[in-house]
Amino acid sequence: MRPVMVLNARKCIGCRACVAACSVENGVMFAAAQPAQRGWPVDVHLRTWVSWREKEGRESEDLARQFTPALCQHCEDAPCVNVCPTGASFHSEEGVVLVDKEKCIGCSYCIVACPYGMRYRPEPAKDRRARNEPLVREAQQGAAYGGVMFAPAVSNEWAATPDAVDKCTFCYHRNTGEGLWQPACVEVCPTEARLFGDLDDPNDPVAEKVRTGKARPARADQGTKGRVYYEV
Amino acid sequence: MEGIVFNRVWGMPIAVEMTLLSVASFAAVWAFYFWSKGAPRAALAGGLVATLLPIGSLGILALDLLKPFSGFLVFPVVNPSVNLGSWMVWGGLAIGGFIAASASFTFLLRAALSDRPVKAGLIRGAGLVAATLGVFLAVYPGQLMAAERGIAFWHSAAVPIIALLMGAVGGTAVYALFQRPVGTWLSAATVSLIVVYLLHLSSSGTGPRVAAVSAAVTTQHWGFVAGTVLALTATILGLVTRRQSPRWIGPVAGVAAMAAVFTLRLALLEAGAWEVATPLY
Repeated sequence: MRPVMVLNARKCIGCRACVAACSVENGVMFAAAQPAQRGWPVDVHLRTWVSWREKEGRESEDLARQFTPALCQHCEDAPCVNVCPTGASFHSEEGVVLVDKEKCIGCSYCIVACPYGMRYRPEPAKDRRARNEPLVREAQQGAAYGGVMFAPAVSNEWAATPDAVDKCTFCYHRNTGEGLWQPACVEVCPTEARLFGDLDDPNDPVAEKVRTGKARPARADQGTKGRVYYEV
Repeated sequence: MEGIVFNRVWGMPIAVEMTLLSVASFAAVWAFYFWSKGAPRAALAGGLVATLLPIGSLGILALDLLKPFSGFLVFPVVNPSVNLGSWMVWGGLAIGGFIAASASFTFLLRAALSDRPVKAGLIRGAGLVAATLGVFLAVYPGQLMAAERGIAFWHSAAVPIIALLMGAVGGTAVYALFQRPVGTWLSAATVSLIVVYLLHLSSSGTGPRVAAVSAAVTTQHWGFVAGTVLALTATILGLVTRRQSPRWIGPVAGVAAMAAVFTLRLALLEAGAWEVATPLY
């Protein structure tokens, strides 16, 4: 099995349900009151993000805003895996790039090496402070943390921890070994702007988009053979 | 500058850590040189610097890690799954060996100066190992930066050369501080550093868009401006350092040179950027 994700920016409406689902699923601290227009996992400190910009000089029937979902590309030739000194970053047998939280020392070399800016360094002090509080509901309390915090509903082996570099895992904890699973972001996307498939399955419609060239890598020039494609 | 994200991951602590390593690296080279020229007290001072600064450097690095006490996982003896393809592993091993060699050199030299019987071959061996690892450790921070592919401004063959010259400047500055006759070498090293640094900025300016942006940002960074002024000051003072010169010139040149290494490195780190745009749209 070779999991692949296909993103369709034209279908994305920027609701960021994917971001919220990912945060809850994987225990990523998420300040909902700080929505950045632009940003990438490396600077918004989330596993996935949707940035947007106004379209200019387009025909009126075109969308007014264009959204760009971003997450780890799960590269086959992953620069992050190549530079990790402790072997904490590795490929699963399906080719998903994961971080062994025990082995990660937090040197951040992988963050620097990622050409896509898809890894981030947690802020341990801020994170611990937030985790020691119950889910912040009152606006006044929430403001002290910069917004409403989402704590993890259920922890998992690959969930975010404050003492290790974090990134998307394609929700690898949902892999039961019995066929393809669905990442949380894909599951909640209301417009099917995120699709998940198996490149090894000849009948998989998502993989077909890749095989026919309807979906392309974000930065083919990097030559890292990522497993996240953008539909054009 | 849409799609360009500046490095905020490796900042001030890493600049300090790398600078300490730079200063220590060529201090060991000079220490070995002075020992071979029959100046054991000067060599002892350099050996001490080459022992203590890397320890301080490791301390700062550990504090910057997300797991401060797990840094030992870069050593193959402790962690069988260590990635030998990562420069950080070789850097960790080299720093460990460098501290051991510099400490041995210093200890043996101290014993010899106290009229204890110490074989010269042992001192020579320890000094030679420290000096060799010192040259490697001068290059290492630059190689670490150049080997990754995320930040185009760093992914350049010029960066390890800049690091090597920073080591030469830093280590020579130690002996300028100690008022040893290294003025000409200090001037040569600082002026070479400025020239290669400027060449790197120039070539980056014609490279990928993100590297050009980084180069432009560097020229406006306070660290670059201050570093260039300090390096030029060290160059001039190094040239006028003579036996008859006032005694303050050497130490001032040394401090200026070390400060230049730090600020120029900080500018290099903070101006590094990723281009994370998805040009499909």
